[in-house]
Amino acid sequence: MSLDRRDFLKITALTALFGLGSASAFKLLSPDEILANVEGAASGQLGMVIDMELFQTPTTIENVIEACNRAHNVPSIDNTKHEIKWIWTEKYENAFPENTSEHLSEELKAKPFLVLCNHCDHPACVRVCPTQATFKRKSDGIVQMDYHRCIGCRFCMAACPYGSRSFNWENPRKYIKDVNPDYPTRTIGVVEKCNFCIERIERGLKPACVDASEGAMVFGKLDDPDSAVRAALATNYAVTRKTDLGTGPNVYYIIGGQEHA
Amino acid sequence: MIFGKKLIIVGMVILLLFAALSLSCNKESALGPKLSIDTPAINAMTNKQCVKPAAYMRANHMTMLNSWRDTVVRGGDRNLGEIDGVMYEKSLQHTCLKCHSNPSEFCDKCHSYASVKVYCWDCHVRPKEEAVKTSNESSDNKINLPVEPKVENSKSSNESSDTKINPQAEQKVEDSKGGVKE
Repeated sequence: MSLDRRDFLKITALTALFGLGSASAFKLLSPDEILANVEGAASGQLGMVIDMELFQTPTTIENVIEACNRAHNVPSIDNTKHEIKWIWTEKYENAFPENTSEHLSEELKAKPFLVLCNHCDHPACVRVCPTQATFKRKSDGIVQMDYHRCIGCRFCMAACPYGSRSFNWENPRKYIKDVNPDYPTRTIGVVEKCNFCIERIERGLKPACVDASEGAMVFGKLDDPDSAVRAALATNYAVTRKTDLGTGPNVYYIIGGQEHA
Repeated sequence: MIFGKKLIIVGMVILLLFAALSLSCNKESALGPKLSIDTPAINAMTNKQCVKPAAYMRANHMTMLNSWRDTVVRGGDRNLGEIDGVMYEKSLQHTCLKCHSNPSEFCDKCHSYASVKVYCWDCHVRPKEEAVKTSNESSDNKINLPVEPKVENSKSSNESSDTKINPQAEQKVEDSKGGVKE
């Protein structure tokens, strides 16, 4: 069999293409590689139940937000494009877009819903972070950030379906009235979000929002059947945000309004 | 003539004076920066000991702080253990800066001498130094600490006021800790 130059080059090119293609296909499809990036529900996963029915006055909601902002030096920036949010309010239709309908009760339409990071079982933000600045802690399932590592690429902001992450477009220090010396501020160019009050939990305290909520928010271990969160979930109908996306959110909402049903 | 002998000699003398002046000014910086450990919290300690020996801290504080960060942020392990009967927490703001409440007289001195630009203060909050300087009593200097270190020896506070007044004693302390100017 004889090969001319042209055929030889064709065969070489095809072989090389096949070799390279199959190597990367193997890499892509091998199950271990992908599973390694997926975090399951951590043992001792912490969760929260927010009973919206118990938030009767707007002041309580304001107090909750204020307690968090004070504890973590969250700046208050008026420019909505630059604002930083750890815990804030959304309308029902924006918090639960898949469960909304044309004929919602007026009360529900008007009610502000407290929203925060859901500390998901399968956090999209963790999967996309190129520097592992965001990670899910094995011990309690908190989706935590290491601000030293954050390079400000904002992949996590694109990935998070809850909008729980904010980017520091400017130096946040200018927008903090009284800096709380017990907790650092952030710097320009990093992303930040709710940390489930990791610094308080590790010292045996409850999250600042829970303390300020006058009992409307409950916090604890979701895998402990005796915990306060499990007790609240056992006796109430509770929902999570955007459950269909499969992120496994760990902040539950008791919508309430049973007396109107 | 402008190039007269007298004028040249006077000019040389002036030049020599300037040279001598610059040498004498440089003497100070050639010895290295002088750090102050004169803070109420340190003065209140009987055994003026950092979490590690001064020589180790001088050479390795940056890597130690990095490893603290990783173990605290990633592992949730804040406990540094007990040193001289005092429980310490792995924390820049709650441990280092509680004693060294004078970063401009401590951290900044070396870092500006060595031209090392640190970005710690972009996020971590510097203690208010004016407040520290005006307060004479060590008890006033306690930054809100969740884990309050207890000093076992009650005599320590009395001794501290003595050492504070006596500059010689303070000098000794700095030497024994292997102050930076050796």
